[in-house]
Amino acid sequence: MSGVIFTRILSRMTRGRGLQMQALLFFVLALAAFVFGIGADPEQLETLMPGLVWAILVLAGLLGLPDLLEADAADGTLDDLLLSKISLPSVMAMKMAAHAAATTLPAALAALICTSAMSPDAFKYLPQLATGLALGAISFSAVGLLGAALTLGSRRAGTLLAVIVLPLGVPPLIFGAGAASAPLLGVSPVMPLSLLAAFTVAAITLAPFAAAAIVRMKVTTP
Amino acid sequence: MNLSYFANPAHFEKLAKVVLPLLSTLCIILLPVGLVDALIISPPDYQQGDAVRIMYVHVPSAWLSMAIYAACGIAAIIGIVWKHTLAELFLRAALPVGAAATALCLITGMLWGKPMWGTWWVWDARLTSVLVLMFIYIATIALLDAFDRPEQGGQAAAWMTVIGLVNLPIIKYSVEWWNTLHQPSSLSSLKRMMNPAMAGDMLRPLLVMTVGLTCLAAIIVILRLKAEMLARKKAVKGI
Repeated sequence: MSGVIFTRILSRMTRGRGLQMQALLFFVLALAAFVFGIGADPEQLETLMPGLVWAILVLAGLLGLPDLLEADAADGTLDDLLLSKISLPSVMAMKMAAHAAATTLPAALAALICTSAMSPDAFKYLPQLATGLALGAISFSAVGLLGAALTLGSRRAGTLLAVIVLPLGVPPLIFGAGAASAPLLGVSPVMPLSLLAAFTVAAITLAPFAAAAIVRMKVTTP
Repeated sequence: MNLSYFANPAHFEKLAKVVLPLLSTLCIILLPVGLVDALIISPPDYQQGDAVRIMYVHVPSAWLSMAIYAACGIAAIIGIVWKHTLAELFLRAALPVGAAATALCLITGMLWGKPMWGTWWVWDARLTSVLVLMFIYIATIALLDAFDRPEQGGQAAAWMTVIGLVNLPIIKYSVEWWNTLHQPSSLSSLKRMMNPAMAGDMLRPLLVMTVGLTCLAAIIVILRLKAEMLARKKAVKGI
């Protein structure tokens, strides 16, 4: 039952829109824009790269959020899900996983490829970079789920989403970028990585429950 | 008499009638006294000179930015659990005041930072976490009016306030957890209050200003809350 629902949620997120490709493309375009703006000095780029990649990742996490819950609310799917036997927090957890699979994880993959291609020393710290990006991608999806739940049913959800999600994404952004640039500075990335992991674990456990409560409130408040 | 006694708007009105004159009297006495003390009587710092006087506004507004957020957090939890309308109206009344205090804190901090640190802004942990608090205030206020039904906006803002509570301890301890340009607190605990790292001549106006500005903020919040209640009553009656 939950497998079927998850497949449906995932296909609904990506169907006909190629959201994964969109996330990859967004990432490369945004990175190119930054590079055109900063200039192509390799040494400067190498020090800026970890921070840039993380900042673009948090922005890429905004993709797909306006439709994450809104589309289901518009056509009544959300009411079906509320009435179904499966609990609302698990539906929300599936939404979070679908968003990660369709948006943030593809963007993280693009981040990994771009960093490896653009800075020659990246291979030395590829495992740390990959771990950090994967954790960050998931936590941005968790924070994004909260944003989508909070703005569900609102007017002008687009800007509001950015205003809500970006501040909440600051802690993983700081820890992740810290971990990514640690090898460049010659320090161990273990401390920021473990803080990032702690944030991710807390976010993915709490966010589905909070989002479920918010969605239920939205549906029941007269 | 329990907490829900004050959740009744009529009881709140009664309470406000007693508290408002009290707070106003305190405020009218404390603020002029504190300002004269802070700007004229208290000595200039031996290193910072007269620039230290910015502290008498900066520290109270920093305290207010966090205290108001904490109060909103408590109101938000009450609003989520018991769905009291008054809690939602409190958020509407208090959040903009808190945002104003945060803006004042950031602006005075920048004005103070330029002569002391040689720069308007540094991205250190304390400054950044207060900036994030400002963003959270903005996001919460934006949520309040983003829905066709104001109750929904109130509930959404209450959830956002609770989520944002995580930031408060980060601000409080940022100067201890990280090595920051911003100095650590001189008045962090009761023990240090008794034996502060600050001369009595400076501590006196600082405390007077803090209490005075807190009274002022409380007055503004109560007046705004009364206005919000009237507006809601009008909306409900359809006048």
